[in-house]
Amino acid sequence: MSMTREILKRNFSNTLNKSIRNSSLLVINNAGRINTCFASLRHQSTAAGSSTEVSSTDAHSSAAASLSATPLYNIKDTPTFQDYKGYFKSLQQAVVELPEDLVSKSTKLSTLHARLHLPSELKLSTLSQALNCRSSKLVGTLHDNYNLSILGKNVLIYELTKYLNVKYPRLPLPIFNSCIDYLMGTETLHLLGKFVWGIELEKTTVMSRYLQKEPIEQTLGRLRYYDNEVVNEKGVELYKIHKSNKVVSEEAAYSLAVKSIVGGLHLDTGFNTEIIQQFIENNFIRKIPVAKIFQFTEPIRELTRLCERENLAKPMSKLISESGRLSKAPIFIVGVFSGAEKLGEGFGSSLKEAKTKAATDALLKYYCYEPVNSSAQNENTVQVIDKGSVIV
Amino acid sequence: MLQNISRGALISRAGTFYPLSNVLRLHGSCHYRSIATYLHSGSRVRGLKKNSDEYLTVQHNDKKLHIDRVDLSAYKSEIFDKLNMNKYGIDLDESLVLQCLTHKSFAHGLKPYNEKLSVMGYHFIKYFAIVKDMTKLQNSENVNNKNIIGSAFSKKVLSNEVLNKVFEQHQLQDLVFWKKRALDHNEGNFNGEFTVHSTCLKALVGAILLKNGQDKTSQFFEQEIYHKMVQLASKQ
Amino acid sequence: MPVAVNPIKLKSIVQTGIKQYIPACRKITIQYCNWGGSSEGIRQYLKSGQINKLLETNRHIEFEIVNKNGTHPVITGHYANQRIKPICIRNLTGTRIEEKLNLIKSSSGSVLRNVAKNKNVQSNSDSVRGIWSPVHVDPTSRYNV
Repeated sequence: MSMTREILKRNFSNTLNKSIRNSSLLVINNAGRINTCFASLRHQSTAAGSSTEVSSTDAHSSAAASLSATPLYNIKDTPTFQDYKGYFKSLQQAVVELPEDLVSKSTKLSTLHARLHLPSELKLSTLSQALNCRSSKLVGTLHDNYNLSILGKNVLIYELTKYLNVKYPRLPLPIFNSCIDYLMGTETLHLLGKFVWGIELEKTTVMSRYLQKEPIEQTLGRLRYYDNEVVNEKGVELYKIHKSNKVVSEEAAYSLAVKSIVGGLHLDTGFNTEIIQQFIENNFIRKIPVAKIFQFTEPIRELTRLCERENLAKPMSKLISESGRLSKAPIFIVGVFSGAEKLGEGFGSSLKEAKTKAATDALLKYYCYEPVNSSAQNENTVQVIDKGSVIV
Repeated sequence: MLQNISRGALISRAGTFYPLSNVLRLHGSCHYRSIATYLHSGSRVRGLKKNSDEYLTVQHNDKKLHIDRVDLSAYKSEIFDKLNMNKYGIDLDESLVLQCLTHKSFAHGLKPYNEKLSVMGYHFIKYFAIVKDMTKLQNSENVNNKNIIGSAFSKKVLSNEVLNKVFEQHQLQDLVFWKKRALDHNEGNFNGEFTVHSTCLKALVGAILLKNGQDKTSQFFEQEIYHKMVQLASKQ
Repeated sequence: MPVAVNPIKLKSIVQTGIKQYIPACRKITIQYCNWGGSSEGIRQYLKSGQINKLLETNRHIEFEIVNKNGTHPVITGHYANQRIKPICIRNLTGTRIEEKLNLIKSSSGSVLRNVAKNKNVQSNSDSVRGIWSPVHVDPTSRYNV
């Protein structure tokens, strides 16, 4: 085991890289097609130190130059190229078939598996599949994470909706959706996948991986989301090349990967509800600052309507205390009462402001209500069913 | 009309007649001039209070239903019978059943309505459908089947149109409380029947889920609703 | 019909789940030289097989052993927050190396800072005691402007 986890990296790769940067650049596309159209598809050539010299590094001029330039000899015939082609093929095959012996060698996959405390039912091959986005174009549509991500999204949203219905039964629908977004929106899942789970991106090209003689299983543990034929340079953004090739952002890719891991877990554990609930509870459920989401347009009117619906006495605002009415910085404390019962309290530098804040406070107390024995596991104990928010 | 008020009686042409004693009791005041509770029926007039009987009633063909005068136990048992819910040991409160079939459009949201329940139900339905699809996908060796997920057919199964048909197959449409866009148009989806009916169906599923747990809901949903959804979707 | 309540979008924050802690260290690189005297300790450490125990107990960390001749030995921690922590271990032996490895393993990877000062106490939660208010005290003893 320890041997498989060790990677002996040879130090010549750095020097090799340096020599490549100085010597030659060629325009090569997928499996040897000479591509002359896109400057962004430039690749570092295999023929390190050989005499091949095609174009300058300048982006725009190189595209134009390589259009007219013809290679000095057919690059497809060189043994180095055949070697690279073989590497590419075996890489593609590995990603499609995900053979168990190769997958188990991948240290990145097994450490990710251990880091997330995933159960052993979740196979490493499924985990690797979850990291392969459809937009990476390395494999056909059958072996990417598309299905897993849809499954994961549905499981997540279902479990979280159930959780929120139990925890905060009275949230109005827009707020409710906002909470769901806070728990499983693209932004959140991106941060979770990148900075908490520590999923790595595959940023190097297949060519440079080949040059560094990187073992193929290494890429199986990284998130592949764009065409790794293409050099990903800082400041240069990849735009749509083909109609079928949908370019996704890094954020979207991470969120797809996270959803897919959830989906993969659910699939491999045979749709076991308990395991998935535990996993979601451990990783996705967090404290939501619910009261900060609300922004009422007409709180006083809404409170009146609410009391009318709940058969409470009409809410009355009363001044509780004040200080410095005639000064430049007065403060008023206003409470809103329904009969003898105090619904909310607010402060403000004018009576009107304090009154509005009191009504807002009362509404927040109603909408953000948490039942005492709320627990997501005991579905049968749901006591409060929302009547729906008040329509002003 | 104002003259009538000043004389201490409330008489309306189109509206309901309210004896003065009633109005007085409502307001607890003996000053004639403070009273202006005229309850208007018919088309909306700006500034006039509506007769509550009117907006709390829903009309299905010839039948009129007043939400406060519904016989709750009969209402519940009718729905339970139509959906065969007793078979699965499902238990729901009577008021909750009524809430499931009350749309947000009804009575301007004054009565408990089904919006949140339908969201819960919809997420359950989506989850259930994708688990079904995934199981099918796992068991099949056919490579072409791998594109079931997210296909046009699986979207159609979950569409409002199909859910509406299931709802109408169970003949529940005359029990729904909602506000139609226009009473005299009944054809097709003019009033938004598809959305309202599918919302009610989803809300029923959601309420069952929250009150009875996932196992019972899955059983009930699969037997009574899901297979009908698939059937109807494949027929189209 | 006016919208009664508008949601304000909350900014997502990096946060592990409430119930489960996910270790921040995801990878440790051990770099040594085959010939240098400063690498003698780490060479002995690697040869002795003590590293195997470390591998067994830390399955969540990826270990990479790099031979780079002509340099001092360095161990580097790679963290989930996308930072690295390199520590030079020249002339260190057995237990000292293990100490450094433990340090890297248990670090969060965030920037070092003085946590002794009170200003570093941060929380997203409201204070349990609440804030004292002068206008809520008993009216008889309240100070009025």
